[in-house]
Amino acid sequence: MINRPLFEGQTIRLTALDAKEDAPALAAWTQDGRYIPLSGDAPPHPLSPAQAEKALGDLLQEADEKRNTFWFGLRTADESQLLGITGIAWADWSNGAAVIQLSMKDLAEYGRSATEEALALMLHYVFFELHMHHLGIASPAYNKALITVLQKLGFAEEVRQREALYRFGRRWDNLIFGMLAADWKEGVGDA
Amino acid sequence: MRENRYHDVYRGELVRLTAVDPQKDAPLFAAWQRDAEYARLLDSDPVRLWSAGQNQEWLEKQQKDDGFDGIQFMMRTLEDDKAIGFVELGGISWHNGSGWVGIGIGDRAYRDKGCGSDAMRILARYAFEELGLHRLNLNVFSYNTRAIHVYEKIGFQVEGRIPEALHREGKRWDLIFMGLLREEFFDNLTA
Repeated sequence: MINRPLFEGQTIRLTALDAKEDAPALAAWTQDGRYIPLSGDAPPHPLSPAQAEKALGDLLQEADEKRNTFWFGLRTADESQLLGITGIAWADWSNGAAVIQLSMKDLAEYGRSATEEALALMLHYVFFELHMHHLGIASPAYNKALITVLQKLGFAEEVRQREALYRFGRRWDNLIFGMLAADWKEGVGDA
Repeated sequence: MRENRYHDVYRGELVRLTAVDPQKDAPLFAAWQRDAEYARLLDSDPVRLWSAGQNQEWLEKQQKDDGFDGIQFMMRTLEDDKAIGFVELGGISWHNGSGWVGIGIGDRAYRDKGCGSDAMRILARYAFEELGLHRLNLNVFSYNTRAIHVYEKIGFQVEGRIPEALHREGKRWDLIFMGLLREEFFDNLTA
């Protein structure tokens, strides 16, 4: 049977992003100096609504043109609030390797169920829809809440790039977690 | 640590690094890419062929980089000024103080002769002494044992591996991540 919902978690939905409609939310998140962008090694800077719209527009345009990136808006079940952005930053088709990214609206959100539900959906999407062999996701060493969720879901720490990031006035390691399809248990993370 | 105060940073013991001349050097790149072994050591993307004209356009595009987030050099022998390969520093992240290095020796006669180590040492020195970077990153494929040995000789440390992230000739190989911190490089030079 192929009737398992791909985009519905218990309390969240993965939906399309809309550059214009979602720009104000992204712009608001970036006004907090602790916000972690999709690419965790990018320097933080606040975005105006117009800059946020362009950033989202560029992301979606690249996904449309290259067909090896996919982006989702992570929303509450009633779809009234954008909680984060997640997606596949690189689908390496010939090797069967995918790299995903996740950026939640604020630091606290990484410790809430939305993050775990979104990652569980991404695992399912990458292994059962894209049929990738391996899934990787990077996390700065300071994002302890995300690392806890990744470990709970069964990700292994595969790479530790020493002192690769500079943030909050000091250097941090960049960690890359991963999972092989063979090690994924369908339904992991499902409530 | 340094033999003289104002040394020529582009010059090693066997090779020197020079600017790429897109028009003159493009035919060399096009010829090297036809060597499948060379191409499969360089890139995880499916190997393909580009004309000299396409190579020239690509090299010109690299040189248009106004923000300076990377640089390519030709590798030329000191003995007879022959272009035998290239090295590059890409994805420079100034606030993190990091960059990615890459190397290719297109001319088969010059492999296993110490030219690669020499060129990589020059590049690392340029990155640390001139650009003030804190660390260098590289990816190497687990079947490229020759390169791994060269990188270790320079001081790079294996920081992890993505298991089975490469699929070639029906077999799976690991993607190895290596890193070199500035102080490790200089300690290694004097050791």
